[in-house]
Amino acid sequence: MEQNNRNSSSSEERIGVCICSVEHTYLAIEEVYVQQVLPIQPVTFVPGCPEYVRGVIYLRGKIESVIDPGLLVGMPKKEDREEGRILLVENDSVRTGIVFNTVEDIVQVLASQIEPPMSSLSDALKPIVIGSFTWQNRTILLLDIEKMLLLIQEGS
Amino acid sequence: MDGTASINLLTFWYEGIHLAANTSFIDRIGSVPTPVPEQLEIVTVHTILDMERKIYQQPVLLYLKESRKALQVDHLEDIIEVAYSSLVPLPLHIIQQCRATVEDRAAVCKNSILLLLNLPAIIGNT
Repeated sequence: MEQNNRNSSSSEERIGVCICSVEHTYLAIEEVYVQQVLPIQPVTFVPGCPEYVRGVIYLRGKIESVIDPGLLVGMPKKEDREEGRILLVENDSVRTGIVFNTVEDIVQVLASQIEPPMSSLSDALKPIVIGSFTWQNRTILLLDIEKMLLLIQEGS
Repeated sequence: MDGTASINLLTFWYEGIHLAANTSFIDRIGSVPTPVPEQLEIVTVHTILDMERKIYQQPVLLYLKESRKALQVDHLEDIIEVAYSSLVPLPLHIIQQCRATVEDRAAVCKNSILLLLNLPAIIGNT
């Protein structure tokens, strides 16, 4: 997998991120992990899975899982919105859809603009946030997709 | 499953979940006997799925082969034949997490995902 350039010594290096929202929280996913953006759609519930697994969808010959990122980190369940989206993300080991209320934009962020996670960050989000940056006067939390996918793979 | 070219599936619904039972594991179908014979063990769908029990409007028993167990479902929908090669694998992390309630492959009919109950596991559990 392509290594992100965040650790490079060059402060001019940019990271492409997809900015999404879950309720009033704005989150970003590095675009190297994003395979596809899908409209919100009915999900087939699979009995016996953890609560954060909404279920599965059928997409071009394959069945993909769909997870609720809020429930993954212990936040209360929220209702889907019509403008909701499912982001299909993937690393070397796992591919899954993640439900968001909105997909706001895809932007390039300077690596130097990404700051360490705030100490005031909720305990629920701390495990999966690797940093934050400001976009349109909003604080955007950069998700650790590798960590999230590992949690999903391990069934945590 | 072996390399059989096609399989027949009994389809039914439970609480919005589209489910199927492979007929190769089913001996016969019948209504719920009254009284229930002592040697018959009725296993309900909601128990297998670990879901809340609901009132079964039209309960039907699927007597499982080489077993004293019968699976109680509600209102059989249809019987369909699908090519084994058409079954689509569920994601590995889903299979690992769903506690073997469903088979590792699902049928897809008209873009609707049909989960196959893991009847061998049901038969094997005592």
